[in-house]
Amino acid sequence: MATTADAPMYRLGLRMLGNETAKGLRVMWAHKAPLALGLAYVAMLYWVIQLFIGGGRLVGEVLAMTFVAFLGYVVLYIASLRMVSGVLEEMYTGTLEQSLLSPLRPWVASTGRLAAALVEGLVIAAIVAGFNLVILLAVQGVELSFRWSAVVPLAVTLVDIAGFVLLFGGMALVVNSVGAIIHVVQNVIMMLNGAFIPVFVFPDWLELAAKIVVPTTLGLDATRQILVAGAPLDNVWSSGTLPWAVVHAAVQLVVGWAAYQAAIRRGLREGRLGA
Amino acid sequence: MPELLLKPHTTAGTAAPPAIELRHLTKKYGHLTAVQDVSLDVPAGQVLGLLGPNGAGKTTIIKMMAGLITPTAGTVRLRGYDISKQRSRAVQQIGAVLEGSRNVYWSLSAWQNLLYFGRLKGLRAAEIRPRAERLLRDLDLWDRRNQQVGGFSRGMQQKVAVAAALVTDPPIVLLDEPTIGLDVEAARTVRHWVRRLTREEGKTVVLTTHQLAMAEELAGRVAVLRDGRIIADLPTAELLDRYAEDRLEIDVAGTTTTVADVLGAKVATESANGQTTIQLPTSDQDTLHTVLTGLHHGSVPVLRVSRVRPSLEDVFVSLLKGEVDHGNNS
Repeated sequence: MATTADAPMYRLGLRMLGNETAKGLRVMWAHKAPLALGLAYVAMLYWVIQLFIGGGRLVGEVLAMTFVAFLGYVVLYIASLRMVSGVLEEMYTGTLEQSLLSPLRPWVASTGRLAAALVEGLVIAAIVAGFNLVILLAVQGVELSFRWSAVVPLAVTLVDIAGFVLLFGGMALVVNSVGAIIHVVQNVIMMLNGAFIPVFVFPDWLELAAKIVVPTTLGLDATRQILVAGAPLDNVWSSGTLPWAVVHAAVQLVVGWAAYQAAIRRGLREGRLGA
Repeated sequence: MPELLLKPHTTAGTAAPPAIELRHLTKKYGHLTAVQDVSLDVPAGQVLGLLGPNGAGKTTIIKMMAGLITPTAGTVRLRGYDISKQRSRAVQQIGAVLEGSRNVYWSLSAWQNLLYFGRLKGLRAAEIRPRAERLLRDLDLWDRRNQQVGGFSRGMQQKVAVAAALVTDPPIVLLDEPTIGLDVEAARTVRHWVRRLTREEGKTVVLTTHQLAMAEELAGRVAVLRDGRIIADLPTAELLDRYAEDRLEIDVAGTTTTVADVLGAKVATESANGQTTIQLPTSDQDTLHTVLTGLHHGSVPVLRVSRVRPSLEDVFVSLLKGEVDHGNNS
């Protein structure tokens, strides 16, 4: 075979990552209609819920404190949805098995698939952010200022989301009813991660549960403290929010990664990765 | 190509390893044994027809060859590379079209699919493009290369799947029911391609199909599976020759009722257009004499007596019924 597969594995791995990401984005673009509907849904959802919360009016203070958390939820929602639906679709159509006929180890394909899902989530979140910012700033006059230090908790949040996405990607490989499960879990996250109400207004027990159990809550709360309350990064670290967010993200990533790899191995053992 | 002369014996002791080497391959799902102790070697350039009824274990074997199902026991080597221990090298040796699968992304174009699957195997776009272009031109898909595969006919979609399996020019091609669901024309194109792969490009092909005429046409060797075991494994011509000695057909005028009145129900018959064909299970001269005498006494006109070379389908059906010696050389 005329091949460059003798090239160093890291180079092949990077090529594979790019390949998977490009494919994911092309497939996403091919599904423009459902994508547009999904986009409209998540964009409108925020405003409708905020109207409920404000008793028929938009409350600027709440908007400022929840805006970034909602975007975090959008990334998680789109990325996990794309991962689960993509894995299921590829299992039923047989392309998942074809994607395993690669000289690279399955975990590289997993990383590529994850990268594509995260990029899709970030792209959608960016579009939603643009749309919502216009309303937020022009109509409500809410003042939001970006601080570079917020990149740290946002990156931690993205790692947290990656772990969650991998966990459910793995579940999609072995659990038949994963569609129903992810739907319920996503709704719970939406209610509890601070996307509509800041978590500090929850009862103490619920706030604690939301921070421990629900992915993104800690990282997005740290981001809120920096962007809205103007806290320096040092303060967010010393308050414990950011360290716990890091721990949560690390645990989530390890658990998600292990679950995905175990699911691939189980799928290979049981012959259930194909049509 | 020497494919029809190759015997399915192991190639131990020869310099080059077999293209495919299965040793004591077994797959169990709980209490169900899907594949039981299958061992075979496929020399380079041979087309192996893997035949068997539904549930015989064909697809499981194909997927274990491709590393897509982990065997319970046994080993798979592709050109010497162990699929479980040297997966990276082993999977580079194969291209596969799997049964019941789209195999390619319907929401991508044919061109995008070939680029994707080429890169998946570690090739650069510059390496993939010339071969992808040649494949798409040969398969009459070049003019529609930028259209989504989902909009293609079933036959064209399968052509894209074949092209995707071949885009890296793998020496081994696994084809699991490649013509299932295809119309006559599309199936003919795929058959033409398989023939070309072996005769012009020297590829090793493992082919599973329920279309036994296709297997007979393409496969230099046939392995028949039943309940996860290989019950026959011979060069196709030899398998047919062995069975041909055992089959005689006598065409007579009249219906099956006429023949039954004369001979009783002891012979197999088929009737069409006022003629009946008597099929004798053996070439035993005594049986032949008895039947001909009976027909003569019954005044049934004998039109023709012939030794018939059976089709692979005949042999296959008989093998599954256990009517013939399995002739398993492996």
